[in-house]
Amino acid sequence: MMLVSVVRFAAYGWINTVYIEPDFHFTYFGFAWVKPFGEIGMYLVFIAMALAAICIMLGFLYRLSTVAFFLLFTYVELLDKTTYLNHYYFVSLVAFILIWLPANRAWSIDAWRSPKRFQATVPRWTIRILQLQLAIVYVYAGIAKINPDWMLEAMPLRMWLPAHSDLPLIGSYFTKTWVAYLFSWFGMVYDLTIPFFLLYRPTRLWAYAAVVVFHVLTWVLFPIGMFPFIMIGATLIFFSPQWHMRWLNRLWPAIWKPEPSIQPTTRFRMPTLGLYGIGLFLVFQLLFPFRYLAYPGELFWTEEGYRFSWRVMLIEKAGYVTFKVKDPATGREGEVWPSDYLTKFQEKQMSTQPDMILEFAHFIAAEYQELGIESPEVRAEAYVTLNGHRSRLLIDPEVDLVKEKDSFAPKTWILPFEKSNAFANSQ
Amino acid sequence: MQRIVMIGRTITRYSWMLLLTIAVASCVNDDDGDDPEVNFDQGAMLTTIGNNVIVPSFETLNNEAATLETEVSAFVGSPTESGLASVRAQYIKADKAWQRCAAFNFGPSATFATQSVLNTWPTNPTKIEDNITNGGYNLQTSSNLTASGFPALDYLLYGSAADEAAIVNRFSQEQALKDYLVDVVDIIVSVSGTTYDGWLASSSTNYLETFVQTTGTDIGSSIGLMVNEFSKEIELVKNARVGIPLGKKSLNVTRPDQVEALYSGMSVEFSVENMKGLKALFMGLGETSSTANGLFNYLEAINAQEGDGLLSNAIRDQFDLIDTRLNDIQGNLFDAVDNDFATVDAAYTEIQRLVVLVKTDMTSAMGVQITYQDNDGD
Repeated sequence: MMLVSVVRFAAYGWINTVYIEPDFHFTYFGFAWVKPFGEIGMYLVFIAMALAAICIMLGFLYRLSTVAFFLLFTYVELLDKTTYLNHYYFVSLVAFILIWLPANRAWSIDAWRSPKRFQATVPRWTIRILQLQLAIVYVYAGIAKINPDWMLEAMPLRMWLPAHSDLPLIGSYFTKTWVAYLFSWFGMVYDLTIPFFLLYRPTRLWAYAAVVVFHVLTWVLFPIGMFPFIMIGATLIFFSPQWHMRWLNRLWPAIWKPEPSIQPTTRFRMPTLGLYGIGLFLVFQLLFPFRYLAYPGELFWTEEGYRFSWRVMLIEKAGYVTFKVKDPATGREGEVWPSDYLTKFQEKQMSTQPDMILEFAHFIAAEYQELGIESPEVRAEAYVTLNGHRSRLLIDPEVDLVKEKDSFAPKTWILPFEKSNAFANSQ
Repeated sequence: MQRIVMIGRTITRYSWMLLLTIAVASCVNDDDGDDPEVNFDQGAMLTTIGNNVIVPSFETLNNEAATLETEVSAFVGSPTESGLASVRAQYIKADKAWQRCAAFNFGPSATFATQSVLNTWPTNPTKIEDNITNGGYNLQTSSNLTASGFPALDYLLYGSAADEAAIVNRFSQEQALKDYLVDVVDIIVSVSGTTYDGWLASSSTNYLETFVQTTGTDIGSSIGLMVNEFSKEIELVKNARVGIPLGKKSLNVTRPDQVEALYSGMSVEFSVENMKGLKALFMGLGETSSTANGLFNYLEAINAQEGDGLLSNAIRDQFDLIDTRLNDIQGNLFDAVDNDFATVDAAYTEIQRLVVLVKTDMTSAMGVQITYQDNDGD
């Protein structure tokens, strides 16, 4: 019975996912150290991914499709760090969960082909785990917002909102500082509490209205792609099966005939091994975002432990990096301009993220070795501004990055962040 | 059940009130009650930049190009040394007019690839001479970008023979050389004209109207486009006009042959003019106008800070400093990169500082996207 919402979710979420497909392939070309399949290969990957998504939606060869979708999507995501987005990570996680769910037991081609498989009911845990996954996303995004810049300075919203002062009706409010504070605090409370309001029946409808308003607003204001729609679609899983049935009956009465034999069940059925597996999966998700605590320094500045932690729309960061290459044999020193090698987007992303700067420094060293310089030294002069604080050096310009290796260990060559006079805060 | 619903509603209501209270309280506590409310009319700024800076700049380019055509046709009619001097002077005027437009590389300039057509350098003398010898060339093809535009003109007027007398002599002897000069100028005139027309209200595109009406700072907005091209052009001055000749890309082995106007030796003057065009855009101040309303005013309105002072002032002062540093360079850039490396390097350093201010602090403060990709805001 609750299956409806799973299928519905798949349909809604995945169709959107396929919809963003054209935006994908730009970023994967002309980049030396990534190993994509080449143009035709990459198109095939995306076509296969779209087919897998359609199959999941129709419930056709379900297990195979979910595994394929998960692997393909994650493969593409892992190709290039530049394109890291929290919602891609979310899609990967949900795709992984879907592999283990029996979402093909009703209203699916699989069930229609072999009626044996038909099952009108679905174990409650299958719904709970998706709800839990969503709750983790929201609550962790909320926790991430509890930081001085966000709460006390209304940063970075205070910088972002005035950009939209030309919007009709609400636009003129975006220039007001109190609106930025209101949005910041509302956003934080929203993220922290919305899963609970959604779980709790009397507040559910209102909570869902808040979900729609919140995500539509973020979609209008910020370039965050499909994320708002994925969330608006995904949070429907909090509604009861009866609710979904009612709407489906109303919308497509011809197809979705109510089946009198369907009864809700609370049957809990899960193999022990699966229990451990899911437990591990959840514990990882609960702990991994907190790894930043193990690093010294300001998280937003060093970005050590920033990714895969549901930190969304938290910082306004921009940078400009020039690399200095030195041939120790001759003492000659020159510069490398990233724009000669990278796309604009890659350059932008790299210029604020130390691990990417390091990776690029190694790439430069390799390039110069090809040119016949035996052991080039590469240093980075990276000016970065964070949340309106004046731009300053991110990386120690004296450190030869070729000698540094990327790892989970703290990066000693990142300069500490000292706060300057805040943006627009005093006259 | 009723009771639970009641509690639920009460919680919802109280959380709202709590939120509002917190929000109001934060405002009141904010910076001594002096709420820096932003009231900036982006449309008015775009109108000023469009009407007072961009359109007049393209108008000047269009006029100078037309005069160049007249001078050239007089010169090829009867090549003399004084005629050559007039054509050279007019070429410099026209190129400077172009430098003032180089920052507006969006709208019609993007449509007609004005920058590539007018100013792709270093030019290729071998290709130019082959074209002249063989004839049958088409200067509109992309492979001939390095054999046309202002840099080709620079070669034809200054580099096609050893000195003035020899150049005039060549022009007297070779009809093909005359034709080539005329063809190069024709394209300069036509692309300057179409780009200028594209901005006019009287044209079918009327880009001025689009430009003024597309407010906001997001992708596709006029401010977004303008700031992107603005920072790109400053980077072009830093990298291509100064950095490459200075040997920044070649482990400090200077590359004087890579300077912008190699044969006339006008590289520094052109860069100075280019920076003036960029500053005019930033200040929103046209050459003949008295009112200013530009990115400077916008930054001032949003009260963007840079260390101890306003970011708007910091950028304006940096433009002035660069102007001084560029003017410190004695003689032409070709010689200066080898004879006076330190002076050129000082100019380079200041241009780089401006790039940092614009590309990081300014775009960040304005909420302008440098790229066209989804992101988490990180």
